[in-house]
Amino acid sequence: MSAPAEAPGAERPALPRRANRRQSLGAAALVLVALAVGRFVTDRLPTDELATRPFERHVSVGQAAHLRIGDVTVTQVRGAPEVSTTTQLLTTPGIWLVTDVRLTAASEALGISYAAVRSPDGRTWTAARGGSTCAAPLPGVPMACTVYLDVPPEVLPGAELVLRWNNIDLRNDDQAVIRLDDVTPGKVATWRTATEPILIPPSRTGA
Amino acid sequence: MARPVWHSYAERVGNDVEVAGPVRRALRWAKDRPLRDLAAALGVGALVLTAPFGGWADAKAPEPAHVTPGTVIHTGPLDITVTKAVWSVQPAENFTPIEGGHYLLVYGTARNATKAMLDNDELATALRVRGVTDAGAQAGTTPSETAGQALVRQSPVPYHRGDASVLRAIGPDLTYEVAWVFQRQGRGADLPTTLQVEVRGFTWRKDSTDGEQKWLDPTTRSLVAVPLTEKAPLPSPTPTPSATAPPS
Repeated sequence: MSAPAEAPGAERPALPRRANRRQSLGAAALVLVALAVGRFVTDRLPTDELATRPFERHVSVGQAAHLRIGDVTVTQVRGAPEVSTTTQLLTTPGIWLVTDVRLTAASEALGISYAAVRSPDGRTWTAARGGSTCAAPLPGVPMACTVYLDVPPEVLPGAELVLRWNNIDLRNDDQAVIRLDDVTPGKVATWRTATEPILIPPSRTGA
Repeated sequence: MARPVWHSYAERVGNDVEVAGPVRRALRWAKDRPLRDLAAALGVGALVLTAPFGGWADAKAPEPAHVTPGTVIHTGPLDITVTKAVWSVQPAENFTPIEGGHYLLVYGTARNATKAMLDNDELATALRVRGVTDAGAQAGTTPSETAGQALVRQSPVPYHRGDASVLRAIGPDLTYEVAWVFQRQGRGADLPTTLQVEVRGFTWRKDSTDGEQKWLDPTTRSLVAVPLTEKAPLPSPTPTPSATAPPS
């Protein structure tokens, strides 16, 4: 007599305990491997900061950086312990770096609202105490304007000046990086002894 | 091999067992619980038992160190010294005289010890004054909203003493002469001759709201007792904004 067939819906015999444990361990191992692979991949993907960093146009003083907003040329670099704006006299425990800029906006009235000095060791000084008169240019019409900021004098030789239109969102857009090649320790020493403040004039359009 | 079979207490002794009291009932209930629940209950019980011994009390902040004026205090992002304090109705030309009130200025220095710019949030948050309340307005003037409040709650405005401009940011390795400026209602006659100044330290950690690394959790790190004197107001207010005199 043959054994009766298993009725549909009948309870299946439980797997042996050892087999259950093997399955659990296997699942846990798979999860760990998946986590490790995920970490390996994400560690090699560019971070947000790296992926969205601005595009840099490296130039020297006197050379034009062709940016999305237009052409930016630093025409002169000066320094002094004091600057005088149209409203106030500003001093600093460091030195004021004053750069004359020629800006020709491309198609929109976008000026330069971010300026920073970067030292070779990664420190950054922005123009938060200083400023930029390169605002609201007429597209296609050259503007002569000034950017000024205070920095420790000893960081200037070998430093770079960064100029861009946006001082809030630094992602993705391009920026001019101007090598301050001719700012030597001797020149900085001379600037430190200047007794007259550098005048920061308003911008001139069509200059 | 036959597997051991676990039975509950009720199954073992039968449902018709005479229950002697609440303790035995609780024990029987506990024996019926899974081991995991019992462990959790034991943990919660242990935590509750720590309450009478201060286990649930707020952690006390370490006592701030008392330092002498001029001592460099490392707050994390800033190295700060505090030297003296003055009060004046108009300490410099670019300060508008306060009707029925005065300015309280704490003098010192601040150096950015980081590699990046710091805006004046940290600079303003790093310093408070203790033991002084806002005296409120004098007779004939509108009482201020902050009347009676401890000035320690007020955030000062940092000024650069070199040119009397608001110190909006501070760059790495630059040491500025700073005046932290508070505003206070009243005439100033009730001010002490020695001012207790708190200098606060910060922690560099990720902000839970936006995930950015920031200097957060200001905590009083040092106390400096500085002499407080009155600075005579300017003889006549000069409205021109140029060539401002520093608030010395």
